[in-house]
Amino acid sequence: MKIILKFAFILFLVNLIAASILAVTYNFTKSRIEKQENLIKEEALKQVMPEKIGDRIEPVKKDGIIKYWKAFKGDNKQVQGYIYIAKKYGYSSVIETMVGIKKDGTITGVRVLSQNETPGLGAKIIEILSDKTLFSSLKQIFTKERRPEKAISPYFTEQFTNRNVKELELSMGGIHAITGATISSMAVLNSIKSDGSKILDNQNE
Amino acid sequence: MKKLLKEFFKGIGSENPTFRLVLGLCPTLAVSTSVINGLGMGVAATFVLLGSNIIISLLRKFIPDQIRIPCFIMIIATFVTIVELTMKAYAPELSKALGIFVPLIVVNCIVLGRAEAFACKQGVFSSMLDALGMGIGFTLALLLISGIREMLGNGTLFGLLIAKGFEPVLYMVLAPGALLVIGLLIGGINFLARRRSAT
Repeated sequence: MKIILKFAFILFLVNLIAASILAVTYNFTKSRIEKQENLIKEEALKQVMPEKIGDRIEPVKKDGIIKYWKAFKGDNKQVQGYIYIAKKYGYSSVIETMVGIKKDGTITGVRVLSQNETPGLGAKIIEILSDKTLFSSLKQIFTKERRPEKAISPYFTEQFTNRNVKELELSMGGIHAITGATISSMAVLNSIKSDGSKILDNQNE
Repeated sequence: MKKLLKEFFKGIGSENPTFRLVLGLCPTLAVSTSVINGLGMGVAATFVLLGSNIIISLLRKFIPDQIRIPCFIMIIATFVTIVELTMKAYAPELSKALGIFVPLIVVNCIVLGRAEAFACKQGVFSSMLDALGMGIGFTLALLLISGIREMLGNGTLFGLLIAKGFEPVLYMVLAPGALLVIGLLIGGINFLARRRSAT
């Protein structure tokens, strides 16, 4: 009996110290983690909604959670577009994309917020075409020669721009899927399509 | 001094956790798809290994034998959570790429294995060297495996294209590629080690 109490006390002591260390670390990193997450979102918000269409973005909340965003132009009270986050399970992870659409459903921009798909296959949804190679990058270090990148956004999500969200489909004239990653491509497309259609159908509420 | 150096170098060479002890293969298989991921995982595991080995070695007289495993797990889990939170705060991209495998360092058999086999019997300084050696050995192994896989499977190294026009062998970044690379490397290292001990 006595030995059980002793063991319990030692375990309690170890756990107490561990918990207090963790509490300190948590408090120390909490604000920074939140800031990092918000930073990604804020940056994406600006990227998917060009300022020409809407420069004032307001969140639409339901029960304290942001459901989607409305974009306004200047002081105009008329909604110019919507921004929403579409989520769907792809091949090995949940793919989260932020999408901006105009009032009529035309997509203004798509950006992948998070994904953890297979590198070399599904992860190509965020691949940016680059003509940089290992050798040219090494050469750059020594010669200080800088060449601007040709493309700045991923080619897969670029295809969505200027298409109507309700008419998205994988086809010859539509969105081209990534070879070997049909499931990831489909997940991105379907989540954007279904969530976007829902918002458009309910926009008069 | 010579003995201490031996404690350090055994983790890199003769007792390399991946190639000689064949421990911690699950995270090795999963994260060695790109060099950056491999490096991140290696550094994270090294930090946890170092922290837990030092603390466990310090507490080895205080923790009774019968409840040592829960105590070890507790200490390891604390360090893992510290790493996880720090990574989320300062390297969000890396933390996303490594995903579930950072929290899973808790049950990485290298960490618990070193605590059990070494730190709970030896002094602080040699435990520290042991952890560093094992951690560096693990990191080097990960770098080697992920380097081969990323080069063949994606045609890149550190995310940069190696040569234009090379059609990557996708198979290498998928799970079977990892098994193949690890198997061939272990085989090759065993072959060399055996030939050395024969002469």
